[in-house]
Amino acid sequence: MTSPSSFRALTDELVRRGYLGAGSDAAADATVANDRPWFISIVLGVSGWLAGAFVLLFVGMLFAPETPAGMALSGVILLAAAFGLYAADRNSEFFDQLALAFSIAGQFALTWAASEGTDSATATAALALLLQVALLFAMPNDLSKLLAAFFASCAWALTIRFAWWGDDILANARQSVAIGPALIAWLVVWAPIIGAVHVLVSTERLWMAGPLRRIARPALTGLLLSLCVATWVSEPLTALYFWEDEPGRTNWRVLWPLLGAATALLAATYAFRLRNRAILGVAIAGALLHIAQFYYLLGTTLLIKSVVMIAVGVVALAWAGWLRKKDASQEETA
Amino acid sequence: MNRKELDAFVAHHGLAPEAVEVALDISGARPSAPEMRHFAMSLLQLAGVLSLAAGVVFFVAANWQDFGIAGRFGLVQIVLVVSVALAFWRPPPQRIGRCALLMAFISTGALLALFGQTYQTGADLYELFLTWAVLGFAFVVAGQWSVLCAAWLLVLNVSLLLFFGWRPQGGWLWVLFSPWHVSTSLLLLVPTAINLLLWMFTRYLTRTQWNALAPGWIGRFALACAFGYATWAGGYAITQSPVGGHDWIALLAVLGLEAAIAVYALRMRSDVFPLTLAAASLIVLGTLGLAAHSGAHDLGIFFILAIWLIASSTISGRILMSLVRAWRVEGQRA
Repeated sequence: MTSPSSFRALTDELVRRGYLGAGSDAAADATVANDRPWFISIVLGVSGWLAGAFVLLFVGMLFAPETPAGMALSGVILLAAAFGLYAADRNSEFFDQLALAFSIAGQFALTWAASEGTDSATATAALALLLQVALLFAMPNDLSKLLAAFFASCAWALTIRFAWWGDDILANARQSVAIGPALIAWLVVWAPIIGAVHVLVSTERLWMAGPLRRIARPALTGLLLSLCVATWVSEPLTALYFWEDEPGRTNWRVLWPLLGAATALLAATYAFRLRNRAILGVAIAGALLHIAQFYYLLGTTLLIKSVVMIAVGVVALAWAGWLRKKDASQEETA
Repeated sequence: MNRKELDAFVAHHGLAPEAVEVALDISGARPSAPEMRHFAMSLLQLAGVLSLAAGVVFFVAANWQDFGIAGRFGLVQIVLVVSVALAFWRPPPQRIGRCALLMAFISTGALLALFGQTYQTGADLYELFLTWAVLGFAFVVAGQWSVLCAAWLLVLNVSLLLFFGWRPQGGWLWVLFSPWHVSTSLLLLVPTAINLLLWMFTRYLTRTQWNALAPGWIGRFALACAFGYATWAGGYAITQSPVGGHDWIALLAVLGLEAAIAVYALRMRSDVFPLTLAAASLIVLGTLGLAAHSGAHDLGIFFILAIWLIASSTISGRILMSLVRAWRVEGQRA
């Protein structure tokens, strides 16, 4: 929570340094008052999501579109309605919730139409990715843009996964995958997202003042959340595949959750840099979730996983020790 | 000052990138290099300890037959003893001592799991977690660290979830509760009450010298668990057909508890989190009640549920945000 006095102090300091003209107002009140706590956003977001699912079921039963084109038309109409509601009144909680429900229903409808129309999980994931990117730029609402960035990451991860190893998630969990392709595929999925986050954080001062901020801020939050949990979100079912008909098959994609935990910790570092405690909490929870997924995922033995975890622990502690020494030597020099 | 406030401030004044850079520095919106190093060090230490602990747990779960029983017990016990010794050497609140006690807490669980696995004690899974919570409590008190406290709370709630959710017939809790011939909804009020008591205890601790044990987020964690069980109890009761006598009592108790907590939060005028949980719980109970008892079918029920979710979340959001704004203003004046 920020008091107007700190806005006043900031304004005065910027005036003193010549970045603002004398007599500039602090402009704090409305901003402080409209800053919604994360837990209220979650309640509103989840309610909007559920309402969206019911809206879709209602529209589906009312108009009974039987072809992919009919479903796609329903989806486009719902998204257009959502856009209209967002654009009409951006500060009304009711219109925001109604628009979110229409938007979610429209996205479900279009994804279903893509699935029926293409009969391919890869193509569906790729079309969902395009849809989410379009929504990120088009929707005049921060929560909508944030969700679009998050789901674009999930769709991107699924597109690469399906294109590389086939459409059937449970079948490709049983494949034998060498360590090289597993690591390369993971990098192909996540390196661009990590890169995008890094660029957005390091160029923050450039886009904060301009119109790009309307896209960059929610996109940054959505991408950070995707680094926290999207490795798990993009393949939750494989963690539930508990048995193996032919034991001894090694699938090094089992390392993905561990790498997901590492990206969650990276997201925690960026969240700290942005002073965003909510994302920091999600990142820590995401890292623990990924470790639980690593435990359950088939692909190698628990003994090897144990050795991997101990090695990771030793490296992390050694790294922390090195940072501590560096810190101490810098303090001595200072 | 958070990013949303800064974004609005920067946009209001139309600051140039150089001025934004200065504003970010002055407002403390970006951590300094030593702060970043300290954060990275803490994160790596925690990640390292948790990775080592996970390695031990994975090793126990692997049940490696080439490694004798004595060897397996010896290994886990050595980890436990070394952790405790480290905590004595560098006692909390030193970082090493706290991390060592976290390791000792997790090793206690691993040792209990190994005992159950080796001697096939027949104990139910909830007993493992409950015994772990009881035996590990000493480490929590000694550590005086919120992370340890959260780990303990998690373990305790897993045991409560396993017992009250699945009602296994055996163990301490079964002996205690088997004479009670009450409905599941009434029984679920027990874990609700336990978590509520823990929440109240954390509120009390904040006014004592033990406040390091229970910062605000630990209290919120306990309260969220309490509301989770309460909503489960209410949801179970409300979806019975017909709703029995015990279920009515449970439902009234849930609503009474939630009302009492809401009144308390309104009187304290500092945190909307309890009110947000109450609102979320009422939205869920309302949704379940409508789905179970509205009498509408298919088309009608989807429409009613969509409208209910949009309306209830909108009203909740509006009320909660008005309280947030009012209490912020009061806090600033104080």
